[in-house]
Amino acid sequence: MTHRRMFLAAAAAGAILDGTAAIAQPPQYRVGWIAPGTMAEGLPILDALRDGLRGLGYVESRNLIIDARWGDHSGPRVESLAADLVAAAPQVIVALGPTAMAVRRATTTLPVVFAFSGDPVQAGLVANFAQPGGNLTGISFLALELVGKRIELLKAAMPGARRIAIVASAQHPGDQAERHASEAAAKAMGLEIEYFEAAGSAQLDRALEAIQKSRCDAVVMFPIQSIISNSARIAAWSIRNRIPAVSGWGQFAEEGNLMSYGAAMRESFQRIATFVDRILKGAKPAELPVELPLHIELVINLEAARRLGLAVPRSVILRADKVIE
Amino acid sequence: MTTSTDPGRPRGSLFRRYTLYLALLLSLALLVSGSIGAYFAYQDARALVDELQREKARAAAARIGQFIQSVELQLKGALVSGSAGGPLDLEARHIELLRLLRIAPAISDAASLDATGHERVRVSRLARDAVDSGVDHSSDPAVIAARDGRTGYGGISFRRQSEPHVAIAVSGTRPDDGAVIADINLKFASDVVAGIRIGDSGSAYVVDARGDLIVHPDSGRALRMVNLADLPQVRAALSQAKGSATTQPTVVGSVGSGPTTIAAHATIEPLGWHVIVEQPLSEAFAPMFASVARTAVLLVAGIVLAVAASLALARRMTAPIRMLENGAQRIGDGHLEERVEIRSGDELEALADQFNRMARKLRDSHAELEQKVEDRTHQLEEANRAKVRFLAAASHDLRQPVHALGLFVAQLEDAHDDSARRHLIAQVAASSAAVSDLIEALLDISRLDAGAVAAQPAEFALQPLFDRIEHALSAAARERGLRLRIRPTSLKARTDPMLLERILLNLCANAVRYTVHGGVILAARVRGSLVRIEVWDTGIGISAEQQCHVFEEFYQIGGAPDERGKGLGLGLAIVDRLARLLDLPVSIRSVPGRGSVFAVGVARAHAAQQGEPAVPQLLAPARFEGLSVLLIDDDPIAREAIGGLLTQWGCEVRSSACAAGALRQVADGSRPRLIICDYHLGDHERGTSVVRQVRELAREDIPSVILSADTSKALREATATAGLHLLHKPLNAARLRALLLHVARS
Repeated sequence: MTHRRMFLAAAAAGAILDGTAAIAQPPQYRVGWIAPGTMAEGLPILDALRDGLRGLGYVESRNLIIDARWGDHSGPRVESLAADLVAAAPQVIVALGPTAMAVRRATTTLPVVFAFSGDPVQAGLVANFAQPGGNLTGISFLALELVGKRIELLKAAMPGARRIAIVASAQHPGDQAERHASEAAAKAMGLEIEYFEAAGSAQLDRALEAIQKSRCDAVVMFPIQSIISNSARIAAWSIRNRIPAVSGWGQFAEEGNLMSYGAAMRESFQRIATFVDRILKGAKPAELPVELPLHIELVINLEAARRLGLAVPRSVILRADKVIE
Repeated sequence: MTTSTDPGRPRGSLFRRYTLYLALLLSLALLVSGSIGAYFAYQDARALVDELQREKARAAAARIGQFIQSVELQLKGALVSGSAGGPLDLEARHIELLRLLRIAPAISDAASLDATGHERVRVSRLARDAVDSGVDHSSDPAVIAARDGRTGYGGISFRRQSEPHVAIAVSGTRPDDGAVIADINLKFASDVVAGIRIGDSGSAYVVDARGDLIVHPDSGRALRMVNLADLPQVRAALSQAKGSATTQPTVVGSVGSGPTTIAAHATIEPLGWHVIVEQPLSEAFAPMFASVARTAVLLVAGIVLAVAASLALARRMTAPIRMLENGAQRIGDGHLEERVEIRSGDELEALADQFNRMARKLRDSHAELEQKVEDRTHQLEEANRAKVRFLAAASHDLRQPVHALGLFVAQLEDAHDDSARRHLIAQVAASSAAVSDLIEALLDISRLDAGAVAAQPAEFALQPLFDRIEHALSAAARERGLRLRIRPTSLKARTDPMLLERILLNLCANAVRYTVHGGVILAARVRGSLVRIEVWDTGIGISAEQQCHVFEEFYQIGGAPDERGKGLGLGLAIVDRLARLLDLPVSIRSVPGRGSVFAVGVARAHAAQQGEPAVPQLLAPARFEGLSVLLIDDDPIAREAIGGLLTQWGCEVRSSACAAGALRQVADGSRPRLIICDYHLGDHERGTSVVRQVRELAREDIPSVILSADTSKALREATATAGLHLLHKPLNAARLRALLLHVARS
């Protein structure tokens, strides 16, 4: 073949490939993501969402673009990020925790799927669970109910506990409700609580120091991102100071803390992916009911219990979904 | 068999019609049966589809029921018997309930009740546990229902106005046994429902007794707290009476952008829930539509086959008919040999046979006709030949005396003395008489043949006839030296007297002519009711062979010695004709050399009519004293001849050559007593009209005679109608005389 012919053939092939590539370009879905914490803290959760979306046929390199914003524990930053994200006009925004409120302020038309720890009705995100009625829907992690249960389980595991430290996020908008819920639950069990706020990792250290100094026997931590991502550090602190720690994500107990009671994270974010999928396919958030996590798991770390010098009663172990030896 | 139809001509409307009718009939039958079959098949298929849907619904109900039952079993496993109430009892209950929580994720809360229905231990996933709270559940409907080992179900409650939960209570069979009551989160049932396969795109969901959606494959849907009681399929499910057979599945019109679906339902007893199974109609009916499509294709194929079959059948049916048609055409064209071959063993074959028979008859009659024509032609040729012979003979016989006449007249011119002249005149008279006789005889025969002679039967005495015959022939007999004896008779006969006289005259004349010596006897005898008139002679006789021919024209037996007196050979021919006309039998007996007897039979009469018939006096001499006669003839010779004769008889004759002359004479005042007028006058004048004119001018019906050689019946009738006499040429003097006499007398 002459050079000229080869050149022509290559050009033709290239043109064809270009054409086919252009034709084969699948529709691009754009999903926005906004989290209150840092990327480091939030990536595992984002990954869980990615997995869920991949399972439903959305692959990032092919037909999915995730526009992720990280709040870095800054309220104002979250607000501006929310506005930016809305301006970027993705097809749906996934908003973690307190960012949902910011996003709600930023848009009333863009569909938003929240992963909210508290009561979205009380937070004003939705009208009611059955028919949200706005542009927001998602999963509620029952933080208010679960905090009482966590205290109960802690009490069962540590019968001698008298004073419980509660760690929550200062920026958490529903924090007043959480505080009240914690106090009510503790009171019902005849316990006292002391409230500590920790948003980012730095604040967390200060909170831990403060708890050390306090007369608290154990600590119940709200399952916020910074807590979960610092699970290992907290576990070390917990064992060092012989202060059992209970939170809401299974990871918390797996990384060395005594116990966790809460929703299964991966399962929950797969459910979030289902929400995203339905919205991308045209469903309206107003018609998708807010859901609760399907499974609430109890994970007990007996090793940690031993190190903490606790003998976990049989009744507690019995109801554990996962026991770490 | 080759047909005579040209290829361009269509097969014929019979074929088309047969094809059309057969095709229509078959197609109609197919359509009707196909449609009826399809209708019933559709009904059956639909019933099957409905039943299938109902089955699916029942299966779904069973699976959901199983789910609930499995939870029940788990609850039952958590029963603790005994009402000790101590810490051990409590712990035991607690342990059981915790175990329950772990093995049954659907359970949100569970409580262990004692035999009185008070709560001993309570565990919850979200809410606080309670030990020995003593809460009274005995009025809980589920607890009430769960007595004596039965399972009780509470109603549906929607936690957070979203999540449907159902309360289930189980109790032990023993009286000590308490109960376990649990709240079941129905979100966990959505997997069960999602796992129910309804075709490719069907689904099942559950509503409670009120129509609230409680379980859906998409778990989120069941959280919406929707009431579906308005949906027709749900309405059908709710309205079904307990325990009755499930109703027909409902066809639901398309909702939004969804397809039309068919929905069946089943009841999940004893919960009172209803599972609704929906499937897109197209999917559910797919096999049915496929079968209908199959039927339609078969129907179309069947109709095509039917049309083809009817074409073939029609061709078969019309083939014999076409054969008949072609055969008929060929026979009609003249091919009478054509035969139609049909071997179908039915009416068409019979028809073809009849056809062939008809053709055969046609051919036979054709042949017959041809034969007849041939015979007739032959006859006519024969008759023609006979006529030719007759004419030849007549003209031959005529030539002789005419020739002689010419010779005599020529001689007469040269004759000087009286005696020679007288002798010649006698010869001329004789020849003229011979010619006249011949022509007379010819005319007679002609008249008889033409049917111009009418017989006028009468009853009369025979004797006067005999007398006249004797008178006529006695001289001739004496001359030849024969004895002529007439036996007197008093017998009377009934027939035409004139014609009979003629017959007898001819017979006697013949007898005289052919007898050399001896005599002739004429006698009449009675033979029963007949009178047999016989003419005996002792003449030369007629042999048997000749007897067949004697009555033919111009037939003369040879061997007569006297040539002169031979005659013309017409006498017997005239007798034969006359006898036939009068229907009289004539017989011959003869011995050659000895003699012959001719006999005529006539009917006998007993009384003669009064008076003699007016027989014209043949030979009575008379003179007509100045009878004025008007003669009209364009032929001067005829005028001369007839005029001369009349003058000789004493008439006063005025003649004219044409009508104009005659009319002038009448106008001048002459009044003739008789008009004699030739029929064919010059200038295309007809004698009849001339006479009419003269009569008119004279204002008198003068007796008139038309002269003509025409012996036709038409002329006779015309003259008779006009009241005229008719005399044929050549004129018979005697007849003319008779007529004159008649006129003179009147």
